[in-house]
Amino acid sequence: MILDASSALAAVGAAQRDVELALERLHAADAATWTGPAAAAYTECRDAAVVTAHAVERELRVAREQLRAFVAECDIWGAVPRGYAG
Amino acid sequence: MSRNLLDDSPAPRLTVHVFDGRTSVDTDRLRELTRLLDAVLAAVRGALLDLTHARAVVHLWAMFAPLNAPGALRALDDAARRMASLADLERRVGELRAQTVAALATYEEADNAARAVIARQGSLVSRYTGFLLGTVLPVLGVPRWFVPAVGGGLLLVDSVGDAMRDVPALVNMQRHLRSGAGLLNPIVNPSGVVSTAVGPQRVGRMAPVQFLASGVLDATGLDHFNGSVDVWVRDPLTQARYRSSVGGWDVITQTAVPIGASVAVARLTSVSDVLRRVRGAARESARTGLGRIELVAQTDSKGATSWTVVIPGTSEFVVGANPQDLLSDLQLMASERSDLMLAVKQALQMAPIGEGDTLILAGHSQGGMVAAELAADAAVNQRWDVAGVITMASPIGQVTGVPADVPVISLENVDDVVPALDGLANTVGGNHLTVQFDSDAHTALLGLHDMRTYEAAWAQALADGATPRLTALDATVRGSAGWADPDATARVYTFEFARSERGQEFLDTLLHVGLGVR
Repeated sequence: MILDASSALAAVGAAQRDVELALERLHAADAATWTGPAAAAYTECRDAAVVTAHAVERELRVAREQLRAFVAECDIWGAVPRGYAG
Repeated sequence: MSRNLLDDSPAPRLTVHVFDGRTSVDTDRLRELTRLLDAVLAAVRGALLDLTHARAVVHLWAMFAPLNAPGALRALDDAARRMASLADLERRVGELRAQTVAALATYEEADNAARAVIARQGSLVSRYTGFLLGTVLPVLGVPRWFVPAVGGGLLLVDSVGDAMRDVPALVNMQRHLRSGAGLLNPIVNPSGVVSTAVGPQRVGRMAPVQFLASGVLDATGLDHFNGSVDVWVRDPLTQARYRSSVGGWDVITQTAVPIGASVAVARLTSVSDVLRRVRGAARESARTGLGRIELVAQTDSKGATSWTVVIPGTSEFVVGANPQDLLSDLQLMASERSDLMLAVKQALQMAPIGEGDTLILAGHSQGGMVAAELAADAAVNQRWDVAGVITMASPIGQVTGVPADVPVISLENVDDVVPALDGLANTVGGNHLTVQFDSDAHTALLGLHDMRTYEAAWAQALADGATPRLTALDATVRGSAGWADPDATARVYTFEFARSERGQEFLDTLLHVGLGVR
């Protein structure tokens, strides 16, 4: 599989799904009824994690576009046919 | 040279848990959060693996895409940065998880400590009551059959407690106290009605400890002798007494106390100063054998006066001329009228306190119960501005009616059974705050009920900033009392009191049976 250039795209897609999943769970992990100083620190840390996850999500979208062009050129130059190492 | 034990000790630390009605935690929710964060970590690690794969593929195929090679290289660099971002995310989430697990452990430890204390409390309450019944009642001529009957009931209560060790402690204790009360009810109080400060109450509507206290008072008739006290302030120069006399609940003579009967003292600057004064008053009360409270009048540079009422705890552990005794403890617990409350209220009437002046009420043990009762008294609130209540080691769960906006700070050592004797949680919310602390070192050094243990706990809870609520309430009390004014002046009025007249008949009876003290 590693010989197929398009597998890079698939890997980035999988990374995007993982990050979406992480974001979904971070959103679910709100302090809810837990209150007080420890809960405030928890919320602050969770919010920072959510911001980081959103940034990663955006960067992965850009990476995917770049990799799509990269894979298309590989196909034009007649590299190993798609699915060769399947 | 006197040495301070606290200074000599190896800096013992306290663990302060705060139950203020606003900080709450659901440990099940924390476990759920931990599971969610584990899932987040798993997803992030999966994304890292995926990116590593993509990066390797781009490396391998770079030579077959010359037009997009620069972009591919940038993509590699970006991928590296993305991985760094993901690693950062992983680190943050890891920290988050560690904090959550630590918080969970802390809360569970506090929860377990509270449960252990409450579990011990049930057994101690029944043994304490058993001791009282077993020693007091036979002397007072209560039939012999009564004591074993009660004792058997208490033993049953204890064994029920042992059998229910796995049941949540609070429920357990309340349940077996209630069953104990049920056992005692037909024996000590067939009518099912007890007299309280707020009129007759049916026992079924009272909390178990309050019922037990009422039952003991009703069964022994100990409360029939109330309502007669002498209260006075000595003139510091002539020792003449400015005196008030109450007999059968009626005021017989009452003398206003002039300012000359007070003594100039160092101004109060903090709650710690007040706590030290409470300790000093207790020492003097023990020395003289008389009841004692102090009223500290502090006048600021603008002329406003605040009054701090300093009330020490029980000083007679039998029943005596000094109403700061076990009888008053039972009466306060049962919310019944007592000579002690009568004497303290009489002192407030005699003192030159202006209408609307600020009152701060502070007491240790029994003194805290008196402070809370005063703060709940409508007449006191109507006449003066009660701006703070500080209790140390006081069971005040039975006191209701303290206005929510009055700051009430209750200090409780989790190893001290006395503040737990009410069998009830303190009222929380509004400006009412209970600070429970756990201090093996101080307890071993000074004693679990000792005022110095409580003073140290107070100082440390404030220094550690145990909760913003405590800091805020402390500031509110200091502000209302005007303790921050460096130009303020303070004078103390020392009130002494003792049972009298009708009380003398009672004292003679007790003396005759070998229970009383002069």
